Amino acid sequence: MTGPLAHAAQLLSAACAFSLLASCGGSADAPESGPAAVVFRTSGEVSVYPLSRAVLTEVESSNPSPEEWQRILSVRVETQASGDRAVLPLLGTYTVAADTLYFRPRFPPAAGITYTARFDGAALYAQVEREPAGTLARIATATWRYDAPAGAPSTFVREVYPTADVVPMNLLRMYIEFSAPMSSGRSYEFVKLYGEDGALVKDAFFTAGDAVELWDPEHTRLTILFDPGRIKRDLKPHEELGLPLRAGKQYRLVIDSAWRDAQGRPLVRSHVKRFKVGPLDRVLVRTADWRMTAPSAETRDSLVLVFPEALDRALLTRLLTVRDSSGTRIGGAAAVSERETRWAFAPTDPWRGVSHALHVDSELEDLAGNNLKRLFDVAPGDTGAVGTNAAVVRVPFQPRR
Amino acid sequence: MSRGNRISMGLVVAAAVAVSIAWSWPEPSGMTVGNPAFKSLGQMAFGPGNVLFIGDNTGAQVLAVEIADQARGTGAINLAGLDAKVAQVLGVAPADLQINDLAVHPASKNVYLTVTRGAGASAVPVLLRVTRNAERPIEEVPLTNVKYSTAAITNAPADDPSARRNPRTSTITDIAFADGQVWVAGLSNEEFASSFRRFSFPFGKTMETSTLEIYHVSHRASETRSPVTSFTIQQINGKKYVVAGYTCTPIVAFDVAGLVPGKHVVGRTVAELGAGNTPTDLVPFKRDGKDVIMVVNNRRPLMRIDASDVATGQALTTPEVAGIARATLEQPTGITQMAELDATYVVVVQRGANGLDLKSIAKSAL
Repeated sequence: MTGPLAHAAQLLSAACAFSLLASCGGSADAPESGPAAVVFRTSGEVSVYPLSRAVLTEVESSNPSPEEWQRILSVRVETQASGDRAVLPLLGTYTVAADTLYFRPRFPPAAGITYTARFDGAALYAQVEREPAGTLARIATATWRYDAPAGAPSTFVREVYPTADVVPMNLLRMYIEFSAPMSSGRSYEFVKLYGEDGALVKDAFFTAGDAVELWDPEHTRLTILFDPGRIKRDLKPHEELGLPLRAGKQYRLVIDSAWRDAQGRPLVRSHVKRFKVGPLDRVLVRTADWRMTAPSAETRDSLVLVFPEALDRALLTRLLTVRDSSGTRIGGAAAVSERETRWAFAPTDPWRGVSHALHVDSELEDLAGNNLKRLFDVAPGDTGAVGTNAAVVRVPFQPRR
Repeated sequence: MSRGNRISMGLVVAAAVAVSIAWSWPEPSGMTVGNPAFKSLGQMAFGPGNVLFIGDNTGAQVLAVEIADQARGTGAINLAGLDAKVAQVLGVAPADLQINDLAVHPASKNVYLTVTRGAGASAVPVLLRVTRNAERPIEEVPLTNVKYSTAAITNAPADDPSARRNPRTSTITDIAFADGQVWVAGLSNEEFASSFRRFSFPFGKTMETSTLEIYHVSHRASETRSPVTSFTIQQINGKKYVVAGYTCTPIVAFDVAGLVPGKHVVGRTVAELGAGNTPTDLVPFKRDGKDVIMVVNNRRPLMRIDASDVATGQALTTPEVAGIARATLEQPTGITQMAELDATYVVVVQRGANGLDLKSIAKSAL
């Protein structure tokens, strides 16, 4: 579709204000029809028309540099210093079709931003060393603001792990699980830890200068690491500041509703996770301390493990597997409950009454980062600091007949 | 964290010489021309042949792209209002973008930036370059129809076919190229483990993972579970070292010759930088004929250490001792990223009253 019909369609689809070139001259360079206009389309694309086809063709074949194109037509974001020519134009591409010059921005428009397009008729003609008729040398501009359809907030904090009310003083990690994907890059502005006196606990988390945010691939779960340098003894941060959490004290982890989700909307509500701090945990994770309840053969009853302490929620989900005697993994669904002290595995198919084994990856950690291999923080004189050497610890069981 | 060009000083000089003579670098093989798929653009390092290595955290891969930048810039490069200017060309508010890393193209001396436009689902990773063209100082570097190859950063195996997804990710905290290998340090969002990987380039099928142990200061108990947040690889007194900054703040030196796959290697902790601080960048360069390493800290001033001290420094045995000598610089302040620009300058991102500035600073002033 070209010509006036196309222009009409563009005008209909445009959601903008535009200004007109005041009038048209009668020379050979005059536009072929109607007054020239600068028009934004809802995609952010800008068109200027009608212009002299001959001049446009000539300009295009002169293969202008990006700078030359920008002198002819530029689109800028409006800033507080608006009208400032020092504002750099948007990245984008220029094309010519018939009597119209198009600018297609490299990126889609951003919500809440006002864009200004500026067409310089004199620069167009200067590109091909032509003299425009007086009126064609005019500057034409248009401004347009993109307002994304507003939606009500719908994302919320689904859970904060560990779910326990009491955590060890050397707690290493928390997970914040959201109901939908979140934005990233400024997370630590919205996650704060407060003591029972209401004071902010400073430097509690490892953020690497806010440069590192540990998200899952879907951006629905953020991992928060308490500063390991403050937890490990004999490191300078530990000596200077001590542990971030103090035994016997109460804390609030506050997740601010101003945090935007991936759609740019705030959270439905702020979330407060209250917890109390218990003693240090400097004990290895040992499968011998677990209570296992074997299921009955020929049923889909769950294999149940009960731990003497809460274990890391994410690692419980990933590092425990059930296998048959040949090592083949048994399909099924695992559920973690009782504040991460219980793990239950229901097989897809009924249990066979043969020997099985629970395979425990020795990287499985408790809330303080101790795993089956070693303590998170080892100091001379620590007894039982080193556990298994094996990558996997097997706990055999046989479904009951 | 690593902000900047991680190529060693020797390689920078070598690349510049080769380019000025006859473009004599061999074609990096194993690369194809096309449109690489990537989900994010983060840490960067240039290697020989103008190959740029970029960490793609979300895509769990390292992307190698040949960047044919024909410019031949010399001297300082500056751009006041860097974040505002980048926001302008991308058409967003400065609050809606993140500048992830900075690297200097070895031939053109243009400054490359990995940037994220927007956040969340609509976030777009972009590679930009800042040039010395005053009228159009920021260009996009297209990642279409380029010569490229990729190496996957394998995650923990997800052998459960019923699992909807594996939520484990490994965030690349730093990346470097030296001696035909790409070095990658990472931090997991789940288990607290140290991962330090090496890929041969051209990328093959194998990836070597090293566990770098450090001594737990004060009692020489070895400590294997601290991730590296920034590192550099440097030749010091004829020997090659990995100099690494850890999550728990120590600066640790490893002899590269001792880094054998599958073997635990114990490094020397040569400096402790203190609490509430992360060394976000280690930038080696020559200053007054001497090899130095600038330590960019997020909460403490810039610090300069002598490379020879790193090579010879005694392993720290008590946290009361801060380790090898470091010059603490009162000026400049607010440096968040740094890379070597040329023989005279480093280029930095500096936070000031009006946002971020890109600045060249003479090495002699540091």
